[in-house]
Amino acid sequence: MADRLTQLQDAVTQMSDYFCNSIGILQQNQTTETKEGGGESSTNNATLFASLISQTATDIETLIESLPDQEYTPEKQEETLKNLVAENQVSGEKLRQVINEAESMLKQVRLYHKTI
Amino acid sequence: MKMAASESEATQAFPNPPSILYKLYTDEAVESGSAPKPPPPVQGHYQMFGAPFNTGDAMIRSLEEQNVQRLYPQQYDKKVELKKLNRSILICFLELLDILIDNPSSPERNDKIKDLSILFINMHHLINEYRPHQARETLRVVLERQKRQRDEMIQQITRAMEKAQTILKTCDGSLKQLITTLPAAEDEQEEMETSQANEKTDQNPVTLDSFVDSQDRDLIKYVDTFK
Repeated sequence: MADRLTQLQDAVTQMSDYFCNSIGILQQNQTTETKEGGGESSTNNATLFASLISQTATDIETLIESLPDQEYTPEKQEETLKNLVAENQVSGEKLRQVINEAESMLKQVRLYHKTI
Repeated sequence: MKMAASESEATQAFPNPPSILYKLYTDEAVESGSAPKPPPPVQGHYQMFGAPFNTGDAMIRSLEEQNVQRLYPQQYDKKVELKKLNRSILICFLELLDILIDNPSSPERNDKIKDLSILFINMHHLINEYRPHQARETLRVVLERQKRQRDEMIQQITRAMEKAQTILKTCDGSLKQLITTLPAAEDEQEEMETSQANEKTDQNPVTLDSFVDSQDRDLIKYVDTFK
């Protein structure tokens, strides 16, 4: 599943596709209908496109609603990122220490095991 | 043979990087620093898929720069404007349909189509303005996850080490007892537990008896260092 922004963009593009196709079909049926006096298929198509378009509009509305209300300023985001990078480095350093400790402990245990 | 290999590589959807390049980055070469450095970041103009780009360009070019009419005010709430646009698009489409019904050949029709396309461009533009924000937020989530993973790893290792130490400590007590009381056969079993390693000791009980004193004192000394 794509992210919300891409979904929203896809929905908007789809909306334009529906517009295009619905008018295209109207035009396509127009010549035949004047001869045959209207058909059931065009009513069906109209209902189909009406429901597709209203559905897409609702989807777009829902997707917009799901976007974040207040955006953080780029500066604030950058600050958060800097903090996170720093915290990450501390954690990484700590992890390295712990691993070294564990490795040396393992080495000692193995060493002893060999001497037995 | 070589031709066949390169041909099959050329038809892959995701071909391997050229081997003359990546083969330069062996462990030794990277360590000694003789591996080629990554190319410097491009400054100024460059081309991507034939289209010219400039590194100084704004991430998202404003609508005015692209000669598109801007349909929302300078100060705006993106969500509110997006919803307005969404509705305007629907209304515009209905109006277009009305024109098509009443007077298909009128010049109004082309105006309406133009309005509709401007509305769509504006909407896409507003959505795209969220992208830089989204990129930074994604980065934040990745960093947070990375940090959490590291912290969890630290906890796991610490816990394992503590467990190993308690086992070694209990071994210390039982080994002290062993030196004075227990026969050699059980001794071997105890030492296997102590070692914590998966290898199986292949000593036999008869010879163990002879050096159990000096060796076990070493072990006790060693285990003491963990207290």
